[in-house]
Amino acid sequence: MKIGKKRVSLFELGLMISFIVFSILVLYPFWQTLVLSFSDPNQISGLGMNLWPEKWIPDAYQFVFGYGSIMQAYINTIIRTVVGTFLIVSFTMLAAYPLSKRDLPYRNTITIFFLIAMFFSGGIIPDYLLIKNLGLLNTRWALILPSAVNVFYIIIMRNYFMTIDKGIEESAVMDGANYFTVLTKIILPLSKPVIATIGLWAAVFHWNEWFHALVYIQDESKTVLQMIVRDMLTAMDLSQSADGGAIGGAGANENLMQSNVRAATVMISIGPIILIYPFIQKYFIKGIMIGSLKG
Amino acid sequence: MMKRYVMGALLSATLVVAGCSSEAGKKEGAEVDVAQLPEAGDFSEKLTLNLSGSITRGKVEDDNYVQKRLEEQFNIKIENTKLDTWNAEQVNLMVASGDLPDTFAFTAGGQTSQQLYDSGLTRTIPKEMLEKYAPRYMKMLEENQPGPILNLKKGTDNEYLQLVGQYSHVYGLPWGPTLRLDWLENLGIEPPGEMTQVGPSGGREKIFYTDAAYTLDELEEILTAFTFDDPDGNGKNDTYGISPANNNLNWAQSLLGAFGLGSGYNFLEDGELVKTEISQKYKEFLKTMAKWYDMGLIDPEFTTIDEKTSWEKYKQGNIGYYIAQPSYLAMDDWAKGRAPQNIVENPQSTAKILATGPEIGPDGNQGVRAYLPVVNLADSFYVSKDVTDEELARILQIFDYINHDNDARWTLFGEVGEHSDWEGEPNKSALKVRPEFAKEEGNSGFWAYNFRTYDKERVQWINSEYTLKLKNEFYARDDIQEKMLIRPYKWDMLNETDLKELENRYSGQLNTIVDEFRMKAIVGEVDIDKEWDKYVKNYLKNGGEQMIEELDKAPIVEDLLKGE
Amino acid sequence: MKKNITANVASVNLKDKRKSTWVQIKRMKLLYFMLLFPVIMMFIFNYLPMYGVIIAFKDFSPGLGIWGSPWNDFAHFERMFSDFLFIRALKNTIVISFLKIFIAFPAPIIFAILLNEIRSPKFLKVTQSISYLPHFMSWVILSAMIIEIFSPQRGIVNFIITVFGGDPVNFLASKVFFIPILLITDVWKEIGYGAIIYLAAIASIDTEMYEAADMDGASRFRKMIHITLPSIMPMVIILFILRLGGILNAGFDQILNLYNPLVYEVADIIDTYVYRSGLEQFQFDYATAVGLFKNVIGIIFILGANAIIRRRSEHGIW
Repeated sequence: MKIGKKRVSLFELGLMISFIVFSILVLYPFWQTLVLSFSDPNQISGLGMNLWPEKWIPDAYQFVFGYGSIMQAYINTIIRTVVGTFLIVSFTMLAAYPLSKRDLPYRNTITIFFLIAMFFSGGIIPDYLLIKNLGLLNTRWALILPSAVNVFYIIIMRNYFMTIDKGIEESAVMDGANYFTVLTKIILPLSKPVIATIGLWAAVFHWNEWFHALVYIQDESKTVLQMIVRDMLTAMDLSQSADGGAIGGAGANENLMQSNVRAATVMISIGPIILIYPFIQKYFIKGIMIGSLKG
Repeated sequence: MMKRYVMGALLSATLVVAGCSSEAGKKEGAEVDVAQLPEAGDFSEKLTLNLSGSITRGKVEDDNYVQKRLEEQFNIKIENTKLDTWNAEQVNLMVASGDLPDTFAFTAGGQTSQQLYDSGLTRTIPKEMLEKYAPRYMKMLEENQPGPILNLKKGTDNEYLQLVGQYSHVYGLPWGPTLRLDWLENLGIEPPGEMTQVGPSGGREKIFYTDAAYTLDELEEILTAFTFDDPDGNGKNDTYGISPANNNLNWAQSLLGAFGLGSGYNFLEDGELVKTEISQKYKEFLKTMAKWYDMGLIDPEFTTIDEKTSWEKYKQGNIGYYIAQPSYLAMDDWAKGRAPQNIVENPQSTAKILATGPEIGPDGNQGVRAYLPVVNLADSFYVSKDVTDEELARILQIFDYINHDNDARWTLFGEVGEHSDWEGEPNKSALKVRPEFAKEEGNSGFWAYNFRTYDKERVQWINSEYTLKLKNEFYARDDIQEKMLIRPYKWDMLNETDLKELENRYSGQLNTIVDEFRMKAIVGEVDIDKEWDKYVKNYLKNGGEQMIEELDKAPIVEDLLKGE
Repeated sequence: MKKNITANVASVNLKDKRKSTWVQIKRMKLLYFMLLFPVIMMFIFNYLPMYGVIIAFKDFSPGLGIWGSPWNDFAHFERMFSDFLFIRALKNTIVISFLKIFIAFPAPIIFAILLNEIRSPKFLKVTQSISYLPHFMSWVILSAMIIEIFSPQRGIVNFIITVFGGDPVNFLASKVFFIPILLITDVWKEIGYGAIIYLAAIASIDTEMYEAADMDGASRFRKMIHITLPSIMPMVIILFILRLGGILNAGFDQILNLYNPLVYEVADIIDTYVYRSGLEQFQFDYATAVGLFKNVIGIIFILGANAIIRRRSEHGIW
């Protein structure tokens, strides 16, 4: 049996061509945004397709980096993403592992306890009062703690744990290892793909989340990147909703952001988060490679 | 067992959490003995006040310039409220949780001042105290009838639920039509009257205005020529007359005016009170638009693009007609990027713009919907229920000074020559804050404590001289205002009806019905004559009827304006 | 206190089964200790504020607070169901949601399985990294591009149509084309990101299974169907059940940014309609009622799906 590197079947060739076409299709919005962000807004507009700028101009980036507290917001977002992701992954594991034991008494009751919380919420007012009474209003913890336990992730991870061969685990328990040791020494190494997935999901969630910042953070020095992105992209709507049209003077800082500035804001805001992907990709790909190399 | 414990803990904990806001705290208006309170100007007792602004972004820094001066002048300690008043979610939550500063001017949508008072969040402001501590404010109310009878607590004639802002900056016609003057010239079409240049430079040299107007029929001919006669001379049939937007009705303000209509307003049609959107005249308007769409004068893409995209299309130079505010024509900075100023921004652009009077309709109607329905008073300044009479006395004096004494210009712009400079001729142009100071809030504290209220003089500080000139000579000339401002027939200015509640409940339904029908009618998806009755019935059935009945109880706007 | 003692006494007298449960609990006490942390967090941040759901049945007034506001005899629910536009939105939500479940849900699964068939590691890595990019573009940005792509005047789709002699179509203003565009763009945006979890599941398949299949001379297609697919099936089922819980979420951001009054008839969903009704305008009580309705429907779907699936296999949420 030959290892397939030399012989590429027709099936695989067709597949690769389809994937290339597909890649171009999904790359397009990204590319167009990049081009717009480096364009002169007087030469190019958001209309039509823009595949190459007349000249590459970094003005928009200079503007965005000089805008208000964007650097501070960047730092804040990184902090919340790192701390928040760590908390989510930890809590997810702590809940998922016990719940993956079929013989855990009251397992279903506890699962339902989590599920109910997924579906019934009291709405924004009691949430706000809670955060206020806990003294978390206007602190970074208000961005991190309320979302630290995610039922969706717990169920996914629990199911993954359940597919792991029980044999190894039981023999370890027989040898006197406690559950915590089993979790850290046996289960986690076997679960890298799912931990990487949930870590990625959590990081992306924290990176993109703005609603908690919108309602809980008043101090500009604690705001997050997505709030500024939101300001930039929707500033127009603000000035339309009020009488921005008719005033001038104060309140008139709600200018229409030029298309290149909007595009640059988008590029800046998604840069770091898409860069982490290649670093964790190996956890998904390695397994696949083993699988298919032998195929 | 566990379950019961959980439930018990849950209940007790929620009670603790909720306890803080369950107080109704309604203060029954004990008579205020104004004579007992300190004289105006007596600031001997030091007070601490938690103040907030009305258009602030929460960027105010502690111990800023304005704060220090105010603290000294009024012997107070100011606690700043760092709240982005443009953030509706945060503002609404602050109101919903009853967590409010001593004074606030953010409008939590959908709540009337009566509702806020009934909820126990605000206190009333006695007229006697206003007369004693805020005489300039009271004078302003007298001059803007029916000012003194607005916002009174139900059943009283001397207790105000809120203070109100003076909106001199929205006087005159808010909108007017413009046409591509270079296209008119290429096609050999005469302007309707004598033209004046808006200004000598900065793109203004390419913008002209005339108070004369075309009739709707003439406009139709012009738009036809714009669409089919290659007005830009590029040899391609790629131009359109008019480019509406799918997310608002700004584009139609003067066209509706030609039928005597103001969107969202009401009037008497054949002796019966009717809302604009279900009137016969509105039907005529729709039929005209449908005809134009059918003729190809309206950019067919308008159904999928919003106003902002429509501005970008205009900038590409394929559209001949666009609606504009005076500030757009004056090339004011804040309107950058909006049509039609965006096409002349570029120094190389050869486009020229002509602003005309609103089109004259088939019955001789001509006009534009007034920005505010009755009088140029709007917005709300509230005082929290926790504020004592002594505190209120001080608050009112500060309010009256910073908002109604024009010596207090420093609270907005600092000292001219030190913090800011005139943009052009002193006292006739806008003031610009020097770059080393925060334009608003921040370390300077400008605008941080002011209410959104502008008399004529203050309007000069914020508007460019070209905007003012345009307004004085055309858009807000007395005879133009008299003739062309469209106001509703009835309006619930005194909050006597339940319209606000009905609106909260039905506006979603009614707007959907109206928007859907308008769009379908214009693009010809429905036959207006055939479907009209069904549409009106649908409108009335889904809350429209109740709203009109309620509206009928409201006072007549003309009477209000006379102060009756 | 007294009750506790009697309860303890009673439990001693109970059957062995109870006793063995207690033994089991003691044996697994470390597991309960682990659970304590997430349970406490969940209790504080989800259960404490849950009482707020009662404003769905009240006329909320800020001064009176959540407890003090008066009950209103289900007026919010009456308002929902007496509004023919709400009913229309409900219908549209269900239609769009089901179409998305049948088309957009399986897409990443197929994508992940096919990607698994590529044997060049570089090609695979690059394709996968690219495929997940659009997930990070917000609908505000994407919708502007989608509108341009389908524009009757500048769009590439209509350009191609006119090259072949057709007349341009304003796709996004068409009741026929709008829903397919929603589905296509949804798949386009989320397929790569959605595939990650399935790739993770594939990564953990025991390679010996493939080797054994090779011994039997199984074709690639057979391995796909008989090894890869069944191995990731538990993950597919769980995600499917959870997806059903969001049955009344049909994609608010996407639709809000793409639709217009001409397609309200097919595209106006509950969230967009409620949004237009001005719920940012302080109608917290009505918004809570709508949210409650959506969640109750969601939980009914989850319970139903879980029950059906449990009857046929052992994979379920509980």
